[in-house]
Amino acid sequence: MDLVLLLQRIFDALFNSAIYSSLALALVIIFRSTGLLNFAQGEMATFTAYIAFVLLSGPQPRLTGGGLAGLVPGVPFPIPLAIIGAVVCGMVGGAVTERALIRPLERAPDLALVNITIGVLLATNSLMGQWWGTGPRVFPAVFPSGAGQNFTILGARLRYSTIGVWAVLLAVLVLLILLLRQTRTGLAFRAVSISHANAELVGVRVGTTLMYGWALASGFGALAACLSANSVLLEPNMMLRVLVYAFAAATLGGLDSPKGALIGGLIIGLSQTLIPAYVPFIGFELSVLPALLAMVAILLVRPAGLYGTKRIERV
Amino acid sequence: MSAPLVVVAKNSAEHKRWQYVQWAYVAGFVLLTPLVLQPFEIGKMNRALIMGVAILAVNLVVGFNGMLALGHSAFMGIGAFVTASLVQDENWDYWMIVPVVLIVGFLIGVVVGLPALRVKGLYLALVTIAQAAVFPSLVNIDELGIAARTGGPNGKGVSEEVIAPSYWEWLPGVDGARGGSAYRYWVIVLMVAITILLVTNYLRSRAGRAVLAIRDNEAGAAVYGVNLPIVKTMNFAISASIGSLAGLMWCMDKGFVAGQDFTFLLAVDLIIGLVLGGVGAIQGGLVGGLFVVWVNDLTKRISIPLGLYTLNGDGPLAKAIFGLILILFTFFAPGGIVSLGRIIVNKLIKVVPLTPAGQPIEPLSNFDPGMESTRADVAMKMSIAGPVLLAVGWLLMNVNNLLVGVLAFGLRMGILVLAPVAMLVGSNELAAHADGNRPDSAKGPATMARTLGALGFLFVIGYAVQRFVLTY
Repeated sequence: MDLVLLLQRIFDALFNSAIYSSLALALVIIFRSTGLLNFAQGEMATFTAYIAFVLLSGPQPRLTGGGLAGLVPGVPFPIPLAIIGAVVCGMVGGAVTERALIRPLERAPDLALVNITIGVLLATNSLMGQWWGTGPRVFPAVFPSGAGQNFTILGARLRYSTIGVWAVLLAVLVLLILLLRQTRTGLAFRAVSISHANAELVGVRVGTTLMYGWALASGFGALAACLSANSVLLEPNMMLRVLVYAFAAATLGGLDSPKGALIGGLIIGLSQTLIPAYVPFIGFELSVLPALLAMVAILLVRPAGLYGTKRIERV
Repeated sequence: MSAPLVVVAKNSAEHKRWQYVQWAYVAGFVLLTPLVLQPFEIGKMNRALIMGVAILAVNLVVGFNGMLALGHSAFMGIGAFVTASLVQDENWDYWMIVPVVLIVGFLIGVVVGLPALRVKGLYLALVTIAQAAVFPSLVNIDELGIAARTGGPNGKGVSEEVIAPSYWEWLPGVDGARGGSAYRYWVIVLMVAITILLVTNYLRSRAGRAVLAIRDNEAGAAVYGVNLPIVKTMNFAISASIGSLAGLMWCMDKGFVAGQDFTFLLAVDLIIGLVLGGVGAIQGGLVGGLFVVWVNDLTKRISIPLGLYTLNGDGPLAKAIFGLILILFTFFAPGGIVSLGRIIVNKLIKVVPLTPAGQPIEPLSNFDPGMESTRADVAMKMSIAGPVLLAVGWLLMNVNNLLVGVLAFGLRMGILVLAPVAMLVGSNELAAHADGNRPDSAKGPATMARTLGALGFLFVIGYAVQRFVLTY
């Protein structure tokens, strides 16, 4: 086996892994607090990537929202500022979605909540198509990713963008952990994720905390979308495929474990690139298969995922 | 109108009469469809019925067993590809494939269900979504001759058409221009009817009751001796085999199958249909199927000018409308259209069960002396409203606009429902008067309600016949 090639493939896979991990993390944050899977996570993230795109391009004819962005002082923004703008918009959007659509159905069965998020998915997806067209847009690269912009380790190229994405992911993760461990909001968040009723009894405002959770998750999704928009081309269905992988990552890591999301994203990203490369039976056409099989296999052994909390039911 | 207009005892003559009316609606609907609609519209109706069967399959797992399985598009795909391959490559007849598809679907259901049902709730939703997501690319594998069988990315056409044999040509709509699609319609209707009959019986059987018990209380069911893994897996497999049957019907109707037809989006359509139709109701599947196909079609034709900007339904916006409908239904009508219909019907006619001694558990309306003549009045108003609605509908018909046309159609349907109810209420009140439970003042309106209701009913039938004669 060619070691350099293997290393190269691993390096290539790392970029996608980071994207899957961050979207999976967003799913996990919401699942932990509300016990709900947000099927619309990917579309909401894509929407914010479009917002970043609009902020980057500024007022242009035939760009919906461009005129609105023109009212913001300083538009067109440089990339970091545009991404921050998108993340803020995503957070507001997430909070609004939680307040308007999820909170009223607090006690509804799982299926109702799944429906709501599927509804948001469809609506967001087609609104994006309506406003910005279904054709792909070129989103500028966030980190230098051109030819030659890489480190060379043992003959394999590690692109700057991969390092950049992982740096951002880890930095945000550290921030998240600090937020959860060191602040009052974080404490409230942890209390809510253990038990809504008990948290309410000790005076935590459950609703507000859940809203923060959604905001946080949507911010994560926005970041993931902006970072990946360059490599997968910005179009309304951009995150649908990514979302399937992120689901797989979150599931096999354990739906309620942030650590699981990170490791799940790595496993999915690596298996997606490595298995088709070394197993002749599975072409790249089927690159989705090994990831999903891995998920099913792990769920068979551990129904709550690798790091998920085992559910104990009182009968 | 809080009290129902008519309260009848279960299995009484009036209840029977009401049931006949309901069956007459169903029969009329089924019979008129191939006669009234254009060929391409019959095709849409076929698709709606097929979706209905698929939604029924989803309902079996989601609605009746309480497990969130969202990946039935894959089972449909399997049924469709097995059919296409057997018909095209092996020259089988469609009817010979039915048992094959059922068995294949069942076996694959067992294979998928055994591991999938080990996980619960949203985890199961994810596993089944994965199944739906992977299916379209599975048919493209070159190994094992799969791509050769399925046609790979190009899809597979089936050249053999379902053509009516000469002794079936008397079926409504079959001969003439509608030929092919109308005959397929009748074949599909027959298959749908058999499927619904079997599923209804299954749910009434011992196994079906176990399935319902698991949904209502899993631990409780286990305590009563239900073998959870076996019942769940069998139910999942039966559902998968019905899903594959829908796939067979799909292949038979379209004559072409491709992996791209059975994506995650089809699974989403099934879920939307399930929710809109009614989770946990047998009729929910068909209602949902009709809704998904026809509303999708209607939203595509919408075009609303809003000043500078025209709201077009034929672009990507159709999905937005669907998303909105899905959210609205989840909020305001979680039981779907079927439960809305039941609420309305219960306002009109309520059927009360009998005690073991054979007495109705609630007083029937004609023995209820408290209710003066208001019921007869309401019935009379309804029977007067009928022709008025018809006139309004006729006026609207001449305004050539799609939405208005739909509205007019809805109004005529409204009369068809109102007229028999008015008749029923009228005769019920007359009976109450004869028993001495109503004042004399009730007699006039009740007679009028009965007469006018009958007239309105005949009027609509006559209108339909006249239109029919004019068109053909």
